[in-house]
This record gives sequence, structure tokens and C-alpha cells, in this order.
Amino acid sequence: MKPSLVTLLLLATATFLTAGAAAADTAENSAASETRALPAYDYSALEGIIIQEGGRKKPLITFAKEILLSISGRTRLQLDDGTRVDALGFVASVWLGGREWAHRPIVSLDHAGVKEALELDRDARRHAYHDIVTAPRFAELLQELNERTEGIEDPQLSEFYDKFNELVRRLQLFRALERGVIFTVVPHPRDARESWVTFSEAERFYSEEELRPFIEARGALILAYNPDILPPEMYREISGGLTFETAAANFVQAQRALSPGVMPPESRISVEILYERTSPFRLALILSLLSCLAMALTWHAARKPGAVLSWGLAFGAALLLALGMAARVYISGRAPVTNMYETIIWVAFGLLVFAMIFEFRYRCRYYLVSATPFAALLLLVAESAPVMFDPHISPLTPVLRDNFWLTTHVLTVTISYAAFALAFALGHFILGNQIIKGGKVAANRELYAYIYRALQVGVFLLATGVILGAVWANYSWGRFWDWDPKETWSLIALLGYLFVLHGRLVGWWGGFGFAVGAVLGFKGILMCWYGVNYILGAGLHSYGFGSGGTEWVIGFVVFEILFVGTAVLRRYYWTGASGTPPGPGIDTGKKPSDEKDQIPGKLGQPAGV
Amino acid sequence: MSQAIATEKRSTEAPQPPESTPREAVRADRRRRSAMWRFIYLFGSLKMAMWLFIVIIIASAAGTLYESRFDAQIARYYVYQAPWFTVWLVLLCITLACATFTRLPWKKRHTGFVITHLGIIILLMGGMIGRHFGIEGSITLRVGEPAQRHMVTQQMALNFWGSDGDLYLVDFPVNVNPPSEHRPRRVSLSTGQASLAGAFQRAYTNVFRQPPREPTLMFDRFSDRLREDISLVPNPGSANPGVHLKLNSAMMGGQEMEIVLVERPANRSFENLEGLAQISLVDEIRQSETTGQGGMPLLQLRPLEAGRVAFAVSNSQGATNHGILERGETLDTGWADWTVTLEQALPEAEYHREITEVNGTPAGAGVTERGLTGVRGWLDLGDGRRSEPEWFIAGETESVSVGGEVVRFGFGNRRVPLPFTVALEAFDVPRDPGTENPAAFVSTLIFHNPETEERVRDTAGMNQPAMYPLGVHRLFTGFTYKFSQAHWEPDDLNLSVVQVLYDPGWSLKWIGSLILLSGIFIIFYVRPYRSRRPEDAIDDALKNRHRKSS
Repeated sequence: MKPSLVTLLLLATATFLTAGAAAADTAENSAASETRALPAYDYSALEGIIIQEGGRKKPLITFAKEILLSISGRTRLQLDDGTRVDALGFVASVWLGGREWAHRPIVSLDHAGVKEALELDRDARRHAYHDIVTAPRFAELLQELNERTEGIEDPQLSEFYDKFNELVRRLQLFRALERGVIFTVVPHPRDARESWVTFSEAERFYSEEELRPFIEARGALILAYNPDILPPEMYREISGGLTFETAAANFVQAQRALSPGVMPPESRISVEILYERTSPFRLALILSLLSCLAMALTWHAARKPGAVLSWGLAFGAALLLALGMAARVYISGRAPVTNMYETIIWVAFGLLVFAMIFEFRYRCRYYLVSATPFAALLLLVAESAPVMFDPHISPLTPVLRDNFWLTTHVLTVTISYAAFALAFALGHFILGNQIIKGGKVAANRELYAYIYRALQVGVFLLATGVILGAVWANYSWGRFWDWDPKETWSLIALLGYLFVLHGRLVGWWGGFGFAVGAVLGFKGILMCWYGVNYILGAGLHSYGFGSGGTEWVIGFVVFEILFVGTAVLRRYYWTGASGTPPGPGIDTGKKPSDEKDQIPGKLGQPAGV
Repeated sequence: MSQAIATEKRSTEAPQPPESTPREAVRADRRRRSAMWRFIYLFGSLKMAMWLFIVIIIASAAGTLYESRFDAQIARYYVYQAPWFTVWLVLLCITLACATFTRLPWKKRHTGFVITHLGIIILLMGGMIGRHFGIEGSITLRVGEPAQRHMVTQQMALNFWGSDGDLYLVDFPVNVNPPSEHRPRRVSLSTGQASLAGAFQRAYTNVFRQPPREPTLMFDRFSDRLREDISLVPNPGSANPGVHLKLNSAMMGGQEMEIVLVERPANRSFENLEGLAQISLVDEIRQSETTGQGGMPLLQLRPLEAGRVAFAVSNSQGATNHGILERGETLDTGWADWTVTLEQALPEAEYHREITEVNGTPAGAGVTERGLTGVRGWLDLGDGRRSEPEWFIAGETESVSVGGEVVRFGFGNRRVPLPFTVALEAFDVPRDPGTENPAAFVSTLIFHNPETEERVRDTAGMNQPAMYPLGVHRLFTGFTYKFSQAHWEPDDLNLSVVQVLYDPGWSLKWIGSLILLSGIFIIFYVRPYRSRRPEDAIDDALKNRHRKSS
């Protein structure tokens, strides 16, 4: 193999250059490279390559998923010819194969107005880079965008230009990927805090001698990716029969050997690879649904084993969420509650844990059967809208870099959302029952007490979290409370629930109104959690800001209001048949005398306060 | 209320204290006998609290919408720091206090209830003390510049020299409550003892939009998009010489400054360049005089004839230079790399300033060009004589005159003196590896107390404020100034803006918070110290089940 080394290097470079030239070529030429199917290697061999990007050193699998997600809105591509390409295969095809993607519809664009302006197919969700940049009005729009953004720190763009701006950023990312300037895989020789560079700049850091094994490993990898450019015998002779997988493993080793001091620890990289591969949150979603099914299907028969099974499945789901979050903590070195995606996962986790604890105590089945589908819904939302709820692990903004306060304040506030979500989910039982039956239904009185228990946890935790936030703000921003929108809405949500609790004492509503309050009160939480960041977009909690999904959330809110409205109407107006007699409750020695009160005891009055 | 007693009777947890049965009778008796108790029962009622709740919820929600639409300052002015909102919070405090008194005499089970409400009252009181006696502001610091003695608050104020020669200060919130032609802002210049009749008259003319009856400054427009153009115009026969200079520095990023100096008015005859150097128009050049106010390097200029001045300049090293400067010639000042070009010199001239409101591009188009901030106004003497409306710029000493009466005034963000000075020694912005994203901000501050000559160095980081004066008791009471990192300029890494907070209500906020949280916990979970609730039935049932099974 010795004499062939130089040949190998030359050939590898030649391959790379031809492929690169093809990429820059005209449409007709590139059509040829397009039709070549992507080779079916085991790309997982590449996932351990480390790349420095976005302020972090991450395995290639993370990078690949992130970049494909940013460009196309997916982590896996379904091509027009029906084949599927995963993120690593896609990145390898560009990086190692020099494949041409500019003519394939992979750039996500779903804004009708921008599509229309660029005269693109209105029904397609993804478009080819080439089609977009050669659109008649593209240059003109780009010019207009530049005029609106140049030199302005925080430009206020109209929706159209905002979407166009996002598109331009995706296009830039695509170009950076195609030109290879983004593959910063050559580590800095000494300083772990310094920038890494691409191969073309590697000589800034290393002598030719130092660099040789790494360059060779790269050449071998490129050759192994494109063995068909040589006759088979010649390839075998030159490469020594090296498979793609071995070449990839060699590359990973050569990279680490180049500058071991600045590499992230191997254990952390393996955890990250495992996390990216397994998608623990999706598994948890399935387990949650199964847990719900197990409880619901055994409502009337085989109750005990059903409950045990359901609890076990919920435990499994919570465990997976905990492991997934632990992995993120280990990878990022901070608490997993710094963006919308992470808080949704955390709330789903809290929901399951609270439900399991209450279920363990009261054995009433309501907690788990209502919490599990809601947890599944939350996980579904988090996992299915990666553009809205960014799952990337990124470095924190400076104001968040104080782990003690970050951990206590954010964890406490968001876990209170979980307790309120539990009360919210339980409230649906009472309202649903009301809608089905009509009239002044006296529902299961225990159920109201269960809601109350969940609300107690929520109120205590939210109050604690808000005050911890004030303490942190006093520290970090220099003031205790200043009516920042997030602060204000957390207070409004808290006051809303206090209103619900106190209103029962003053006699403004009984058990039914209490259930309505538990459902409607969650709107305050939604506003505080999602609304401030995604709808108002004002204030100091700006690191969690985002956009999108407003129509879904508003749809959800409208649905809930209609649901509550229907229940109210069914109770007082569309009563249908006469109300059913009061259900079984706990004997407190006194029958409820007023239809309004379904909670044991006289709720219309301050109970002994 | 009899049902409340019924609830208590139902409680099986503890034997009922004998006093609780005649509770209702005690209440009725109290109400009958004392107006104070009637007040307490009225304000301590839960219904009253509920209405207060509703209004606070709606107003706060509206405030956040305001903030999203406009900005935080406006939301604060109309809602959170508006007098009515404060009144509302005070009412809430009263209601909470009354509610705890209605439970008198307190029993063990009232513990949670009483301390929760007490916690809220203490917390709110801390907040109000902080609002009224605390100060919040910011200081813009640059590395290497002299120490600052003032901080700037968000509130705008106007000061004027009264006819008695004293300086008067009034609130001037034009930035959050801009005046309009229909509702101009009035600043009465009456300086004598405030008489009730005068106050009534002022309120009357203000409310019914009558012309003022006493000397008054009137303002009808606020703008933060003003442009100021200064020039020197000939004024034959005035015997008032003037020069027009252009200053230039390549080191300061090609910065250019236009300066117009005239002999009269006297406040236009010199210019302090940000406290670093002084340029003065003189009637005779004194070469022995090498420093201006506060020992600053000095440039003296004396117009000789049109387009020609004599000059003498000194720099901080003591080097001097003097000679004649012709129109269009450039002089090297020796102050860093600053140069002075003579644009014009006239023996008989007048200072001319023109302020125009720049018509900005429509909002939302993405361009926000901020110019100078100012107001348009005039002087009304109250006897029918009034000056023509003109623009005034914030942060400058302005004067307005009509019928021989001259009023000097200035306005801008209120500056509050500190009892010590603060200077920026260093400002560091470490970055995330491989990116330009800041990983932290660290301002190294030097505090100096001129009375004790104490000098202290401290750093203000993102989550670690600096504190001065130091001391454990100050830390716990809040009688200290906290400096937190507030802003930075990516293009100027020598500049750092710190937020300053002096909050004497601090300890009450903390104590109130702790009491409040423990109160909520007791109300919910510590049984003998809270009232029995209907929900406890599910736990009782649980206990019964356990008892049966065992």
C-alpha cells in the first residue's frame, strides 16, 4: 500500500475536485449527478466525527440532523423519486460525494405570499435552491430586504419580509454547506475555547507533517465513499480493500489524535450519539398512550392489574423522559429548561410524575387516565414542530448562565404548569360528563377534591417559582419586580387560580364552576408559557422567543372555550332529560342540600376560616 | 354565616373549641358597637378582595398588551406605576389586613391564613417603600473616562431658573405622555409660596383649557426625530464676532463635529468637548492662559476680520502653539489627532440654530432613525403676550423670551447624584468558542467615596452585581447601591452601561416572600395549623380504608 499512498491522495483530491466542479456546473451536467442514487452505506460510522458549530463541539450526527432540519424542516428527506435519505446520508453526499442538491426540492418554504412572489409551486412545501434564486423577483426582493435590515440591530419586519428573511437564511446555510465552509472539523491545536477551521485552512494550525495522517484519512474516506470512480481492481489495490465504515472509523481516530486536548470527552460524545439515535421522547410518547389505554380499557374489568400495568407504563415513560433530559444535561452542562422545547418535555415529565404520585396515594384511576394522553399530546407537539420548538442544544445567552438560579426558578415555575395541566385534564372529566348527561349533574364528588389537590401543588409551586424569579431578577437585572410581561402573566395566572379557589369560598360557584375554573385557568398558564414568548414577543425573557403555531394554540383555546361553553349550556339551558341523581360520594354525614355543591361539605361558605 | 359554623361542627379532626360557637354573635356584637369593626368587616370580606383581584388581573393583562404594542415605559406610566394602580394595591393591603382581623381572636387553625396574608402585606409594603424611597437608574461608563457622580433615571424632568434666581425642578414625562395641540403640557413658572387659590386657578385653566393667567411654559409636541443645524449668519451692526469650526478625528472613526461660537450670548462663546478640552472665543488672546475650566486643554480664538482668526492652543502635555488661521485652513490641535478647520469667521454675526423634525419612514418598514429628542413649546406670560412656538432640545440649556422676559430652562432624563463616584476600569466580553456570541459581560468598577477617601474595586457580571457601600447590614437591609450589567455596544468594547438600584424596601420584600410561601404551605399541607376543608374527606376516606384493611 505504501507506494500507492501518493496516488491515493491525488485520486481522492481529484475526485473531490471533479465532484465539486460538477456541483458548480450547469443544470444539464448536474442532472447526471442527480440521477446517481446515493450509496447505501452504514452512515452511523460517521456520526462520531466531531464538528465545531454554533458555539459547541458536537458529533456529526447532531450537526447533520440540525442542518437538514434548518434547511428542510425535517431530519429525514423523502425525495421526489420516493427514496428516503437520512440526515447523515445527506451530509455525506455533499461533503464526501460532492453531490448536487441545488435542483432538488429540499429548501422548506411554506409561506403562500413568498411563494407567490417567487412564482413557485403553491402546493409544494419544499423547493429547489436553484428555482428560488433564479426566480424573476428574487434579486429585487433580496435588495428590498437588505434595505430593511442593513445596519439595524433589531429590525421590525412585516410578516412577508420576516418569512423571506428566514428563507434567505436557509439558502445561505445551503450555500455554506455546498461550498464546504461550514465543515469546521480541523481542531485548534491547543486552546479548547478557540475556533476550529475547515480543511482548506488547516495549515494555519499544523505543519504538513502533523496534518498528514488526518489528510490521508480524509482522502481514504472520500475514496471509500466513491469507489465506483475507479475500476474495482484498481480501487482494491489502492485502498487496500478499505470499507467505508472502516475509513470512517479511521477518520474519527485521526481527528482525535490530531489535537486530543481540545476534544470533548468521548463519553459525552457517545451519550450524545445515543441520544440522537434513540429519540427517547418519542418512545415515551408511545408508552404514555399505552398507559392511558391500559387504564381506560380496564375501567370496568380487571381493574387492579390494569392499574398496575398503566402505572408501570407511565413510570417507563417518565423514566425515558428523565433519561433523555439527563442526557441533554450531560451534553450541555446545564438544566434542560432553557427553551420552549425543553420546557414542554419537562412539563410532560412533571405531569406524569404528579399523576403517578397522586395515583399511588388515592388509587382513583382518574389521575393517570387524564394525565397520560395530555403528556402524549405535549410530547407530540414538541416532537412534531421542530421549526417552532427548536430541539437543538445550543449555548446559553449570558444572562442565563447562572445555573443555581436558572435551575431553581425555571424548574419550579414550569413544574407548576404540570400540576395545573393535571387539574386541567381532570376538569375535562367533569365537563365531559356534564355535556353527555345534561341538566344539573352531580358528578363524582371525589373528582373535585382530586382537582383541588392538583391545584394546591400548582399554586404553591407557581408562587415559589415566581418569587425565586424575582430573587434572580434582583440579582441579575438589579430589580425585584418590574412588570415584565413574563412576570406579569405569571402573576395573572397565579391570581386567576387564587380567584378560582377563593370564589368557591365566597359562594360564587360550587364544584362545577370550580371545574370550569380549573380548565379556563390554564389559559393563563398558556399565555404565560407560550403567549408571552410567541405572541407578545416583548420583555426581558426574550431568550425563549419564537414564532409560529399561533393558529394552533388559538384553535386549542377556542376549542376549550367552546367545550366549557357547551358544558355550561348543557347544565343550565339545554338540560335535555332531567338530571341524574347525585353519584356516589364520600359520606360526610350530611347529604348535599344544594345542587350547586358536589364537593363534600358546604363549599358555598368559607369552611371554618 | 351560620353555615360556616355548621362546617366547623362537622369537622371530626379536633374537638371544637367552645368559643367558636358564638363567633357569629361576637361578630354581630362588634359591628353593632364599633364603626371600626364595621369597616373591618366590610373591607375584610372576601367579596371585596375578589373585585380587587378582577381589576388587578384585567389591568395587568392590558398592561402587557400595551407593552407589546408600544413599550414598557408607556405600560408603566398608564398602568403599573399609575396612581390608581398604587391606590388599588393599597386597597388590597387594607383588605388583606382587615381579613386577618375578622378572624380575631386567632386560633391555631388560623396560623396559615394569618401568616399568608401578613406575608403579602409585608411584600407589598416593601414594594411601595422601594418605589417611593428607592432609586433606579443607569450609568453609561467608558474605560479611561473620569468617574461619574450621577446616574440617569428613566423619568424626564424639567428645571428652570425662577424669577428669584433659584433653580426649580418639575416632573416632565413628555416621553410617556406626549403633549398635543389639543392638550399642551403646562409648566407654571410661579415661584412664590404655593397658594391654594393659585393651585385652584391653575387646575381650572388646565382642565378647561383656558389660557394661563401666570407665566407658563407651554409644550404641544414631543419628538425623538429632530435634527439640529447650526450656522453662523452675518448680522451687520451687531458688533458680535463669531466663528464656525469643523472638528475632525480619524481615530474616533472619522467623527466630525460642527461648532459655532459667538461672543454673545455668553453661553455660546465656549464649547466643552465632552469634558476633555475647551474651545473659547476671547476678546484678547492670553498666552499665559493654557488651561480652561477644570484644567482642560484650551484653544483660544479671536476673530480678526472676515475669514481670519488669531489662535493659541495648548495640550495636556503643556505644549503650546499660536498664530493666525485663515478660512479653510486646518489646525492640528495636539489633542489626540483632533484637527480644527476654520469654516468661517465674521466680526458681526449671529448664532443661528434650526431644528427640524425629520419625517421618518413609516413605522414597520424596518428603518428607525433616531434623532435628537425635544419638545416644541412657547412662553406664555399670562397677560396675552406669548412667544412664537419653537423646538427645544433635551439635555441643553435653552432660553425663551418674550416682551423682555427671559426664561432659562433645561429638560431631559432626571439625573440623580450618587454619594460616591464610579469609574469603569475594564470591560470584558469573553466569547463562546468559535463564535462571536458573548459568553459573559464583566465590568470592573472602581468606587470612590470622596469623604472617606475609600476606594473599592468590584466587578459587575451578568448574574453578580457589584455593591457599594459594602457591609453585611447593608446587604440585608438594602441600604446600598447595586450595579448590574445592563447594556453593551458590540462596536465599542470600552463602553458599558450599568443599571443602578437603591432599594430600601429590599429586606421587606424578602421577608414578606418567605412568610408568604410558608403561609401557603401551611394553608395547604400542615393540618393542625389550617382550617379543615371539604377536600379533606378524600384523605379521611383513605385513612378509614387503611384502618379497615389493617
